[in-house]
Amino acid sequence: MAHHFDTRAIHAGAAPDPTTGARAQAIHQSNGYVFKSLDEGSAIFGLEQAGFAYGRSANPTVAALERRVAHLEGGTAALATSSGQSALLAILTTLCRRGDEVIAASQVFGGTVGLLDRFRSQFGIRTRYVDPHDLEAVQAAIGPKTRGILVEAVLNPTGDVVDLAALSAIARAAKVPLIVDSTLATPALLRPIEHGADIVWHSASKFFSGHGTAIGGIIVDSGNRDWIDGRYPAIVKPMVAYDRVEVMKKFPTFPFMAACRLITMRELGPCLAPLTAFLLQTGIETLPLRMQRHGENALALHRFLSQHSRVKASSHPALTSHPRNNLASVLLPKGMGSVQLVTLKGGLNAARQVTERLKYFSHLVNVGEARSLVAHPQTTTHRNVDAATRRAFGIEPGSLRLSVGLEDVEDLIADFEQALG
Amino acid sequence: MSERTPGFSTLAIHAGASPDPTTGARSTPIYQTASFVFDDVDHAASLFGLQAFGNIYTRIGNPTCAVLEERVAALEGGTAALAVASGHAAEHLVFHTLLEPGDEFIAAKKLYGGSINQFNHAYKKFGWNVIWADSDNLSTFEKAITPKTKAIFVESIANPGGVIVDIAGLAKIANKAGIPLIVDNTMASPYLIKPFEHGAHIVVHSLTKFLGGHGNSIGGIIVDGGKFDWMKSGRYPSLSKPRPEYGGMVLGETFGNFAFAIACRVLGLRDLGPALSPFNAFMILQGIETLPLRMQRHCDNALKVAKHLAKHKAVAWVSYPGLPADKYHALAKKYSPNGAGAVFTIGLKGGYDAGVKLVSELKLFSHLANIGDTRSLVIHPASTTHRQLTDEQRKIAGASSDVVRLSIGLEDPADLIADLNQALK
Repeated sequence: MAHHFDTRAIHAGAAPDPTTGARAQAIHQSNGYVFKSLDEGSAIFGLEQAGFAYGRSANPTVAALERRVAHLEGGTAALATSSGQSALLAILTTLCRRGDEVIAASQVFGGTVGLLDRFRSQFGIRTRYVDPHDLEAVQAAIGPKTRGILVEAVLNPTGDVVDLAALSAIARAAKVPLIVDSTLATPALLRPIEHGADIVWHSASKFFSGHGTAIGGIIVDSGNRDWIDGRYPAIVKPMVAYDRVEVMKKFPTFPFMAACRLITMRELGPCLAPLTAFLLQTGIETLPLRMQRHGENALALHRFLSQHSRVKASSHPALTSHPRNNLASVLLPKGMGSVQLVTLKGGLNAARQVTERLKYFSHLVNVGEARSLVAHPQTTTHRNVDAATRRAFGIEPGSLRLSVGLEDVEDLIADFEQALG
Repeated sequence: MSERTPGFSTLAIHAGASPDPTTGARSTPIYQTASFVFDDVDHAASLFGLQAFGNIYTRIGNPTCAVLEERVAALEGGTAALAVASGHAAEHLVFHTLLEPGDEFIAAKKLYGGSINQFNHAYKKFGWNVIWADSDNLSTFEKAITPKTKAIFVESIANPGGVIVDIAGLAKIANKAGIPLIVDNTMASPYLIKPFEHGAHIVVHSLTKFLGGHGNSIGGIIVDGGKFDWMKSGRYPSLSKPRPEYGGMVLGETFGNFAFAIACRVLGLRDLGPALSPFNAFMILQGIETLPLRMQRHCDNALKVAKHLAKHKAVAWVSYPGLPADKYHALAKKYSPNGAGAVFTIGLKGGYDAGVKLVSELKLFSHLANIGDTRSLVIHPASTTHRQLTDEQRKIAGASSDVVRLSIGLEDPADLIADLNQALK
């Protein structure tokens, strides 16, 4: 299907229900799937035949979501999970064993840091944090135990970007996968696989849902990596727990996704609910329209804020003062998303006043909703992050993370005018 | 900020909703509950007696549905709304509130086929008589008015598309006759047309279409414009006479400018029962959050496709008011300046067989009987919805053998045009 992106956001991976003709995706709220025969049951369990066996491993409604997102990202297959956190869990458990290491950008979402800390303390899998803009430092951090490089395509909470192509070249040379969290970009704005990413993952709770009504995650396999170098036994060695299947040989076009499904999903179980998959697909149908408006609204609001006398700085990368303004323009020609920081003069008191006065910006810790949202990182999302890391992000006591929604932007500007007034 | 009127996109996201006071949840909760606990016996009695507002039982009202009602009322500029199980149920409750056995109402001939059936057949059982008039010739409405006439019913953009109705002209006739003008605003949605601004008194919708937007939930809604003086009229006993079921309360007196919505709820919905499921209300609310984005793209895409088809050698005609040469273009510019909607009809030079071939060979367009989906949809009325009619009957209904109806979705318009080209080859 050589259709354009907007068409694929609505059609990719979907078809009318063959039994009833139903045009909207059916919600298969079913745990089990009847086998036609004992042989069929055996063939599905033995991975000889594609099919559904049990809702924890795969579900038809969830599968439709997986096909759609794989298509939109330009990957070969996808695995949906119960949250963004569990998407990262699946990635790490598939790539790493005790004693292994990963490299992560020093500026990543706090939840990612939390999971990486747990892997260190409980599984002995260590993370080396590096500044993702310092390519030499990334290169220098790579060692024999490195199993992947983790970055965000668009950084939370600043909206900053990283040079994906350059990072990909480093990863490729070291034969480790580049793993990109593309939650804040979405494939409507940026497709990391086109820039050399090997694995893309999302918190689907954000812009995919688009309405703040569903928690989910998803992993996309680029299908581009050659895993055969002995460092990834889950993908290339016979699986003792699974008929001694060799995933790479069995599923050569999407071995990473298959390994995530067979290991993490089947054994650890963070599966996505079918109803949530349905809500996420409904959201994705308007993803191109929403991302365009989100981007336009955020840019207009940050332009206004950056000129305001009570504002110290805006982190929006479209502003010419931004150090990576050029890179952002190249990577994100269709818009730079809607999650950025604004830092107020007057520190915590100013942040408190504005947060409490804003009417259309809900004070909560989510991003990517139709509604505009505001959070104060220092007291919430980044309260357990050390001061040096906060400074690296540009998070100050007066900083607010905005997730600019789909309202009329005049109303959002007026809201800030009164709140700052 | 109270002095500032929120924009349409802001209302589409915020009107009627607020964070849940108990948990802080920002998304509207799905109250999938049948009943609500009373504070005490007095509270229960006052709710049942309509002395206090509150939740009793989901057939009569539900907090999730209430957010939807407030949101649509705000978008339409009405005083109150009542969400129900389907667009048909919305029409039924409106007429149940307005008509007594033996009464008449005048309806435009060009209407959704389901409404024509409902008016011609189902309403006979209630002794309600429909008189048909021509919305292209407003004097036919004026001439049809008798002492028994209780309402005028039209669609703002008439199904199967391409017909724009002069709402202000009809409002004048309705006001002169002292009867309400009811406008089915399904095809336009309040993003394109707000019938109350042109003098309509009551608006109804099938929420299933553009308001829901994703073809995944059936629902309907009635919006009260708040301008009709039921007490002064005195011709609508549901509103102006004491109601024995509510201790002799006169609804029009007690509830003033939202009495019509209340009467539809406490008489029609309570007793006839077509309640909207809270889950569907939630799905439709989610759809409404992107209504402005979707409607604009629907209209932009429809205009591009209509322009292309108007030049196509296999197409005899295109009936889309967005085209400058269309007979409804001037009305479209007046009533629907942001776009002429997403649904329109075309005539194929190859007649019946060409219609069947087109529908069969389209790939992106789904062949089904709905409109207002993110996906593009197509139907050939002569071989489906109007199959049982004679050629003459089909012609009157605007469903001649060569007619195909398109509902243009949100896909990339280049893909839609390519799909039509390959199917018309």
